[in-house]
Amino acid sequence: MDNTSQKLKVFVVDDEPGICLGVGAILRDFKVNDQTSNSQVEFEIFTFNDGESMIESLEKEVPHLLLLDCKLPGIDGMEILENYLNPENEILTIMITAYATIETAIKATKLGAYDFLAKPFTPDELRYTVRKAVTHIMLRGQAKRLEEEKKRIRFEFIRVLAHELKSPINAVDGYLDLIKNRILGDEIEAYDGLVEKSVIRIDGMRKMIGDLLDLTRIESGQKKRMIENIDIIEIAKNSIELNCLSAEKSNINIELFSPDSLFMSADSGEIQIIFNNLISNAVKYNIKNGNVFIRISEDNNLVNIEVEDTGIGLTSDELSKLFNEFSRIKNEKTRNIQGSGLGLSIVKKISGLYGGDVDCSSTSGKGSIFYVTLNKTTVEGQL
Amino acid sequence: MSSSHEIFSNLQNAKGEDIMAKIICIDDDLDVTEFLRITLEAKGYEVETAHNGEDGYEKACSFKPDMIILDVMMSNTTEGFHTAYKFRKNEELSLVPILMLTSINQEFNYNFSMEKDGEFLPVDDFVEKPISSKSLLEKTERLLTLPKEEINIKGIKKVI
Repeated sequence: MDNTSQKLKVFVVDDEPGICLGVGAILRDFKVNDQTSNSQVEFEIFTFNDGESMIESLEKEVPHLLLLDCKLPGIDGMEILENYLNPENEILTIMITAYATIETAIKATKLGAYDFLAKPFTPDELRYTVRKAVTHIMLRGQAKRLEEEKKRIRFEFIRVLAHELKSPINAVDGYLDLIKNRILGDEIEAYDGLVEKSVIRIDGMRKMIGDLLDLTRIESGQKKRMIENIDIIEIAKNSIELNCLSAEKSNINIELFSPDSLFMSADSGEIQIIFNNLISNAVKYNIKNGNVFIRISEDNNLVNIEVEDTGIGLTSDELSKLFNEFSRIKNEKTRNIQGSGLGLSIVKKISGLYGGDVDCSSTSGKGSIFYVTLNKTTVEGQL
Repeated sequence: MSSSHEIFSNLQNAKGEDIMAKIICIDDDLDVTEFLRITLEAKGYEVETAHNGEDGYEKACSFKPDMIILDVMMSNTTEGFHTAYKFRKNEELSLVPILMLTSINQEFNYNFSMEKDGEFLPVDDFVEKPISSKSLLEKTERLLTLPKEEINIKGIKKVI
């Protein structure tokens, strides 16, 4: 266990000095193990004999936990609960009450009290109640941290997305500026190259938006899935055909090693996305006269797909970032290759829908092999 | 602006003849460097391009540019900043004016200006993307004629 400990501030308000003293003495020696951070929680106790002095202290210091007597000489516990505790402070309140009636319990709960401690209570009852409250505080803290992390990731995603979408607009803007200002003279043919380059960037942007929609549909479960018994070899062949043209341009040979047919229950659109992404990557990141080998086999309930290329390969550093969103590997070899940076994270998400995964082994300069495993029969479900 | 427009450069060789100023453009977006190259070459400047900070630094060492155009966000969000510091620390290149390209204003809700950022960033001017050829050429001309004692080395002194 970790040696770190954290201190929680506890305010105890009771007009009986004996209660204040007793609670202080018990909690000062009490330690609770916090599961969320694997550390120990200790207590710092502040005692008050009336509500007024506690309220005054709240201005300087806010406790994590408040043990509050219902009946107090001046402002009583209920009134403090109702009017003096700022909800933003998230103080967890345990009411100390001599007459634990249902009415007071309901009223206090409505006003935001977390728990009750009926007078007279034993040290164990106090420890039990406080432990429960501490667990609640810690879980609440953890939930809040997770929520903040989620927000941060979402912001980061949108920020990167904005950048990725702005880049092609900036590029096309620049070319239009050159055309508008006739930088290359009055012959219109001089601008053909710029128009061609602009079209390529716009196509890339369209592809990115398409991929982005695929990704969000898969993530949100909004994409209506049509699970059928389908032959994935047929889908693989279609996908090869789709990539033939770009493969021919670089004289890349694509070969398929598989049984004649292999049926599994799946959404054909999703399987298509997997093949299209892996095969188009294998072509895009290949070398002239290179090879792409696709192997599909079954192993009990699993379908194994391998797509091997003889391309530029990846370093171990690049491999570690490969399946992250917008992680396009930028180096001298890839800078002429257009991509959305979303393809592989989509493949990973889809594989997950089939209880499978995607992996890659690669040698820089030699080529890469992508492995996808899928369950042949998966219950329809979300990630 | 027509293509027959005069070239702005105050550089002269030993014989007192005008020579073309040399400019290196460093940006990871190929189409941006292409835009810069076309715009600047049309005005007679000699242009070299690079697509990351390290490559740009190396090329600049042999190319010996009269001006550096440098993008901020390349392989990471601050690559351009680090590259600018590297240039200022290089004896031969430390007084070469740097024009920084930024496209991060909206993303970070931040506007670069020489008054604020010149204090810690050793660059001489900023251009926000999308870049217009007009403002690019105006700023290029201004920086190429900037006296060496006005090159912004404030930031570098603070950092070292």
